[in-house]
Amino acid sequence: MNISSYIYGTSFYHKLDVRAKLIFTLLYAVVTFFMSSYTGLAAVFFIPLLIMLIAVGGKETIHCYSRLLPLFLIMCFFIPLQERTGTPLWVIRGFTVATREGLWTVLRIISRLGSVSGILMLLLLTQRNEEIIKGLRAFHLPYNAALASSMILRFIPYLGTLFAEIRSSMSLRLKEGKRGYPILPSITALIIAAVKMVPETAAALEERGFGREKMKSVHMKRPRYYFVQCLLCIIIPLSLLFLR
Amino acid sequence: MISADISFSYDDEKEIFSSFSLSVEKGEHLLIIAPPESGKTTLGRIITGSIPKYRGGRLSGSFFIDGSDILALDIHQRMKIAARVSQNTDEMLLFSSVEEELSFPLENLGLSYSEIESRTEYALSLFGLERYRKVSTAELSGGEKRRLLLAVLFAIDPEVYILDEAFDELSPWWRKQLAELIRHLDRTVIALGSHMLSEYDGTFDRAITIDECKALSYEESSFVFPAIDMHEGKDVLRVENVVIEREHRSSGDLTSFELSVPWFELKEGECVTLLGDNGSGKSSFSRMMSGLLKEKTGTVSINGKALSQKERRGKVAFLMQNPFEELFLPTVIDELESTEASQTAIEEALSLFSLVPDAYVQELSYGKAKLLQAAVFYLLDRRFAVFDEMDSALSSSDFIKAVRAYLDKGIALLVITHDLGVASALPGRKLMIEEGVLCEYK
Amino acid sequence: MEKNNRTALRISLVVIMTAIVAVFTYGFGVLRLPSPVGGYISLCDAAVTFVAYAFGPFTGFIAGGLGAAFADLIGGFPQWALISFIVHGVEALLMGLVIRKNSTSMGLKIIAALIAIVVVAGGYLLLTTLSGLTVFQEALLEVPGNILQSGVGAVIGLVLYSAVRKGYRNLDDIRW
Repeated sequence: MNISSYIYGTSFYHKLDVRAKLIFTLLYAVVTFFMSSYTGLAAVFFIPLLIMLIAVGGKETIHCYSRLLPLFLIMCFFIPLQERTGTPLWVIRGFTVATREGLWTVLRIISRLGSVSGILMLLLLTQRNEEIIKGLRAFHLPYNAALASSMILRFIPYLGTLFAEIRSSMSLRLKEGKRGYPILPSITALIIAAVKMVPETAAALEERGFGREKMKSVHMKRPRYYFVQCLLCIIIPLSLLFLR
Repeated sequence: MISADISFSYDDEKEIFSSFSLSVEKGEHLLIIAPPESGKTTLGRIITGSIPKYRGGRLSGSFFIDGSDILALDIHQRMKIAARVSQNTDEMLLFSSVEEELSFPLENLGLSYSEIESRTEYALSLFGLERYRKVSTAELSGGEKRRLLLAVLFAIDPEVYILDEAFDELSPWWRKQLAELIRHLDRTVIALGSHMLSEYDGTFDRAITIDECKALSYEESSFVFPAIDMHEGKDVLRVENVVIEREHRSSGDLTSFELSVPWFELKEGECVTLLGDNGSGKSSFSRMMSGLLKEKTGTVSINGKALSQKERRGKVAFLMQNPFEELFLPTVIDELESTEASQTAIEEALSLFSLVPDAYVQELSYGKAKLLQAAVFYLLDRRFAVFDEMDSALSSSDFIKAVRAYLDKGIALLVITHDLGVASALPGRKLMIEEGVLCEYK
Repeated sequence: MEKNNRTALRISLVVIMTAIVAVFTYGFGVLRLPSPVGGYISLCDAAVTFVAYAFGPFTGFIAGGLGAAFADLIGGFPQWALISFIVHGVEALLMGLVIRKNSTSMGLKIIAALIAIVVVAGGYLLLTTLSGLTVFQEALLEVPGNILQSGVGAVIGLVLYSAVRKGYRNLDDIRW
């Protein structure tokens, strides 16, 4: 069971330093909430899509955006319900189907959802989880929180695999002729196994020296042009605010 | 260097050590060979400190290493003195990537960044894990996880290395490699094992065993396997021209290879032993037979009637390595009654497998849980059964007890083991998997 | 020494319970029924209820919230992670405050289940709309599904607690 979204690549976005990328992701997500023109909406929507195409290719990009498509369609379906009192845009026999303002509201939401999802997926697709955690540590995520995050990423696939094993085992114990597996006993067994692991894991943490040293700040090398990267990652999202 | 005298019993009153005394010289390589359930893992945990702090029990006595009693130290203070490789690899893997698994203890030692870097690289290269540095621990095979734990131990480089069944799950090549590394190690080593391996020759200075809660010097083959009879019947399970596709993930690359079984037959009451190293496909074969894995081509039939994957699940019992995965009710008697067997049959199973009816399943020791698992499938009345490395969890006498019970009932057995001693003591044919093909053992 | 003791145990408890919530939410890859409007129907609330009941409001808040958020992150819906964290965190917090261990009062359990329903259905409606990531009517469409999922989840969670407690008597020895 693999839970990492990371896809290996050598694109410019893969090479971007994780700290710069985190700044970019955060600023970009915030900026998308302040677009005031259709040009702006289109720009913030398509920039992550374009970078994703370059970084991980068409197949992954389609896979990623296809999860959002049903939601977009439903929202479009609700355009007529928005801003009923606005300027009529589409009128059939005296009945206003959609208004200019209604269309704007919905497209703005679609653009926002698309760009926020896109930029976040892009981060997960181009950066390994442990690098993201390391990057967050550089921005003062507390040590214990970073430690816990990394451990969570280990235990999710572990417990997932364990459940698959339990489920197969249960199916072997059924009376001849019966199929499937008993759900409640299976998840009970999974939880008991997990709870029993709590003291075991605490012991392992301590045996690995947890609590010996006060943790120093994280060590990360600065790539070439680190400050240029950071600067660009601040300027580019902010400049989108001036799109008219 | 080490001079210890300890007594320990678990909260359930089960006594593990009573005035267990141990003395080891500096740089000595000590091997402790003792049957499962005799307290080897407990000993390792007492030294590193997770017992009694996290598992309870009453511990008394002292354990001096280099003149200081480590039992008075906190767990994390002991890391530089003694560290271990656990028998169950998943118990000590904590992080999502190989790199973090190594850097965490090294950071805790307060080492400089460059020192951490050089030790990490060195340890990874010792165990052939260089390519795996960025890989998620979830994608490693059992043997790779074992090598990772060994790499962590060698990177920490404590005064005393504790290896709990560390040769288990390693391929023959890596076993030799590990033995070689230990031979040239100038640290104190305590290795714990349940049976002799050829790799131990020349690697260890001395072997002892644990008997009746005390340390004794080890003498080879104290247990003589009794002869076991087979009563063959007419039911027959046949596997013909089966090809199984297996996926194996290694350092993130998914490779698939095939296991082919041209012909395999198991008759009612017969015992067949399947030998082979880890990763050779023994488990895949048994999973296929018991219907947990789908075959790519070929047929599995009982008495000439071909069976689908789902149908096999009700015919072939598969006793998985970890018994707790197959047990899910509160008490022993609940488990046995869930098989809907008659009261007399349950009584019989209780005495046959020496079980206590109102014991709580989750509080059973690993070995007892294994016997309960055997009792459950015994009562389910399957005609065919697979024992997956059952010998490594049970003492020889308990293991033989289980094999006997099944064979006497006429249940056909496929016993999977990597212990040649066990295999030669069992009756019937011996098989192995060579280069992806199931064949007679040579 | 005593203080340090607890830290390792607390981290392990939160980590493993978070993973449990995430695995239940993510749906083991088999119990996963995709909902037509994004996201998926899951046993998330059963796990959240279990954690809140067994380990109290604080562990519940962190593990419930983080577990749901991690499931969104790895399941390909990172945009909802923050909202999921708040909704399921608050759900566990309030439930943990209402139901105490060994409380057999049926009334309290019903109140707890109602809290789950109100917090989950109301929380998602409110937060997805307020955050401006969806239109109100679409968010409204999700309400029936969320009511069903959280109600059923809460009941399963309560049953699960008794089942686990019965099979593993030491459950109550593990505390924050």
